[in-house]
Amino acid sequence: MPNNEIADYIKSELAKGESRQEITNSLLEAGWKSDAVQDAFRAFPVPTPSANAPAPSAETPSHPSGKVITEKDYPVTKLWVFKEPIIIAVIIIGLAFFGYFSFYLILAIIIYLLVVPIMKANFHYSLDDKYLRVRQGFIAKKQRNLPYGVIQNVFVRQDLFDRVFGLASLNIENASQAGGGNKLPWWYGVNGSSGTSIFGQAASLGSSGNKIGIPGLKKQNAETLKNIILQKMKENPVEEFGL
Amino acid sequence: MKISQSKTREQFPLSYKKIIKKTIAKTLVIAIVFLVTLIVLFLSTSTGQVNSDWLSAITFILVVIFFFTVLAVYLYQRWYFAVYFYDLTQDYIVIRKGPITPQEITIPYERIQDVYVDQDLLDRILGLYDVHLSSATISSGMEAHIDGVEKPAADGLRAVLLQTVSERISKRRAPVPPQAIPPQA
Repeated sequence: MPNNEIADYIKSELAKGESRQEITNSLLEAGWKSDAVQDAFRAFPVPTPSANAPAPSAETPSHPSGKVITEKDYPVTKLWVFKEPIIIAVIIIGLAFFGYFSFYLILAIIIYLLVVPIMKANFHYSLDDKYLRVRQGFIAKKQRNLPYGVIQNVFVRQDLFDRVFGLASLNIENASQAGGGNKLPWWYGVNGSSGTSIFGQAASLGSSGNKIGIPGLKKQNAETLKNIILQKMKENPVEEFGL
Repeated sequence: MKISQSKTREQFPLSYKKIIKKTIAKTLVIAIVFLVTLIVLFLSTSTGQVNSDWLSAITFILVVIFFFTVLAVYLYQRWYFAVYFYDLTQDYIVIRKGPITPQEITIPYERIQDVYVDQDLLDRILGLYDVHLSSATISSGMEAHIDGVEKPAADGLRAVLLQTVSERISKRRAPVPPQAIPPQA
């Protein structure tokens, strides 16, 4: 009959990533009987590689360690380039029903079709062992290197367009203000909760403010990439914690 | 409607009163818009801009529209309630909501800066609680909350969160391993 106190202790220490040997040693030092400790350990079977972290490994294709994951593995889809043009086209058609026509909307489509592909072609991300790196910019270049340990939260978002076409955007945030202060768009927090408009926010490409956005991923790819990043966050903890 | 369940939601369930609360909150807003429309209508009738013969018909149509809007809000809130997903996994807190445009936030326990519970007026009346947690980012403060749980669930969630967070951010070893109990005779 395993002792509850030992079991709780082992559980909490295992969760912190201590080795079994060290836990056993400190328990023995505290005066616990060896067989009682062994007995308690029986409740925590040694995790086999497949049983270890089932959620990420089930969906995460095994990337051999050292392999750098880039935008070639999980690309921003071509469809995303046409996101704004498609939305504007829908608006134009909608307005046409009411007899309106705006030349400026056509112009906006043309500008989007010129600019977005250039942005996309110059956007690169890579996940190596220690850093999440993002390179972006056509004229003004920017490279961002984010240690996995400082990532604060990870978002997977789908706006209406994404939902219709099965896309998703992945946003990664740390606590820095890399963009030079917190440049929040004006619609941010207008309705108090979401910070997402149907057309904006979720779509931002690359690093802005404290955020790195990888939009236009296939839903499945976004989930996989999220799991890879979560896994790397777990593997690269930082020692000084907040709170 | 199928409820998207997780272990955490089974243990600390959302209250069905959440649907009522949200519906009431939205209905109040709609009711104000509706009343303003009616007042404008009556005023324009009294000044003779609108033929008063039509007044009752227009009012009737507006009332019908009002009730259908409230019904739609109620159904949407039920849907929202059903897909509301939160789970305290071993390493992360996952919160996902939004039936049409879903968004999911994942926060590691180590990054939690703050856990707090609050109530607004409707919450006080219905006995609901919102459990908020946030990391150091602004958007997490906006996204990461579990709202509409009753007192036992709110207390339970807060206790579990605080316990896990303090375990995670304490120095890697527990300070003192548990003492051996005296051998029993």
